[in-house]
Amino acid sequence: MTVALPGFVHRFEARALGSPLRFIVHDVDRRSTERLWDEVLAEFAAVDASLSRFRDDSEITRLNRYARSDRTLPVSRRLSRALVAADRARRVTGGRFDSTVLADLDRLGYRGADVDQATGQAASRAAGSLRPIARSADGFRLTDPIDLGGIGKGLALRWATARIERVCQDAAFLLEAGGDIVAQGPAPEGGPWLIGIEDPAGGSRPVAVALHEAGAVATSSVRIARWRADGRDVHHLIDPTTREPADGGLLGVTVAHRDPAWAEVWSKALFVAGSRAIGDLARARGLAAWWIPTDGPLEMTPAARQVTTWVAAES
Amino acid sequence: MTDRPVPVRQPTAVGPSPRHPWHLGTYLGVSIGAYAVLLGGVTSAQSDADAALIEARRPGVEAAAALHAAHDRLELDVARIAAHYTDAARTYERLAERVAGLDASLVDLAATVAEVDGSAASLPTRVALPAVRRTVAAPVAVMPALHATTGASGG
Repeated sequence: MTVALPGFVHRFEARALGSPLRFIVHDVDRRSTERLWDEVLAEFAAVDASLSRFRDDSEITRLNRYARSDRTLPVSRRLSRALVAADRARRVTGGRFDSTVLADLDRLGYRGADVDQATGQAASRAAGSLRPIARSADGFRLTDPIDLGGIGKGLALRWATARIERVCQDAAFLLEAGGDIVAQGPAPEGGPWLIGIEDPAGGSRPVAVALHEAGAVATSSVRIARWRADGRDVHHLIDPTTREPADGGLLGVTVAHRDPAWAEVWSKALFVAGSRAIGDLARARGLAAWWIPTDGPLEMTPAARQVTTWVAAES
Repeated sequence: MTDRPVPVRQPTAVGPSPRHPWHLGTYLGVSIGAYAVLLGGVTSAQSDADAALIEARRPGVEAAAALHAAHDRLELDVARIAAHYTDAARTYERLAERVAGLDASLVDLAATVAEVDGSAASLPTRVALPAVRRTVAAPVAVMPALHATTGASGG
C-alpha cells in the first residue's frame, strides 16, 4: 500500500542497458518509492538479460546464432513481445525501422556479442523479400540476426511503467533511460514536466523545451555513437534500404508519443526518412516531432509546436 | 289295212361308255372349275372383308402408333426428370452439409453472443472519463528549469 505524502520528491539513479537510468517520483512515501524503484530495476535487468545484443548470454544473442538456420526456437514471453513489436514497427513504418541491421552494425565496427555473422550482409540482402521475423507455434525463426536496440529501451520503459502502475496506479513520476523519457502525472511543482531537447550538434544548451504531461519522448541523433570506419565517419542509425548509415541530412529527431516504444521507433524511422520526407511523414502521422537538419535550424510539426514553450533559436 | 308288225327297237343305251369314261374327266373338270370359281369368290370376299377390316382398324393403329410415340417421349421426359432429381438430391445433400456447418457456427456465435451479452450486462451504464487537458505552451523568453533532457543514447 502506498501512502501519499505531498511535497516529497524522491530521485533514484543507476545504469541500465548501457545508459543512465533516472527515476523521479513524488507525493509518495519513501518505502513505496523504493518498491517502485525496485520494480524499475527488475524490469530493466530482465530486458537486459533478454534483449541485449551486447550480452553473450542474452536470449536474443542465442536466437541470433540460429538465424538463417531454418530453426525455430522457443523464447520467453518478454522476447516474444519484443520480436512481435519490432516486426510490427517494420511494417507500420514502411520498412524505415528495421531490426535486421545487426550484421551491418557489426560490419561497420559497432560490435556486440559474437553471433558468427560472417556472411551477414549478403544474407541480409538475399533475404530482403522474406519476412525477417517469422513466428509459429513453436517459437521464432529469424532470416537475419537482429538488433533490438532501436526499440528495446522503449519497451523497457513501457513495461516498467506498467509495473509502476500496478504498484501505485496514480503515481506521478518521470523515468528516463539514456535520453528516452516516460512520464505520468504532474511534475513535482504542479503542471507539466519540462523536457529539454538535446542539441545534436554537441551544444550544451537544449535547442528547445517542451511541456510534457503524459506519455513518452525519445530522440535519435548522431551526437554519440559515431566513429570512423574505412576512412569515413559513420554512425549507428542504419538506413535499411542502403544498409549504410542514414545520410538524409538530419542531425537529430525527437518524437513525443503516448507510448515510449513507438516514440523510439518513430524517432528512428523519421531520421531514416531524411530531411526531405520527414515533415510530410510526421504530419501525416499526426506526430509531435522536432528535427534539426544538418544545414538549418530546428523544425517541428504543428503538434510539436503546441507543446514547445521555448526555442533556443527564437530566444 | 293290216298292221304290220313294227319291229321293236330295243332302246339304245344312252350314257357313259364303260369303255371310254370321258364323263369322269368332264365331271372332274367341271368340279375343279366350280371349285376354282367358288374359291375365287370366297377369296375375293375374304379379301374385301380383310380390306374393310384393315380400313376399319386404321384409326386404331394410327392412334396406337401415336400413343407409342407419346409414350416414348414421356419415358424420355421421365428419364430426364429422374436425372434432374438425382442432381437435385445431391445438391440438397451438399447444401444440407453446409447448413449443418452453418448451424454449428451459429451455435458458436450464439455462445459468443451470450458471453458478450453477459459482459455487456456487467458494464456500467455510465463511465466517468477523466478531464482532457490540452497543453498549448506559451512561449517564454528565458529557458525554464528542466526536469529531464531527451537525447541520443547510441541505442
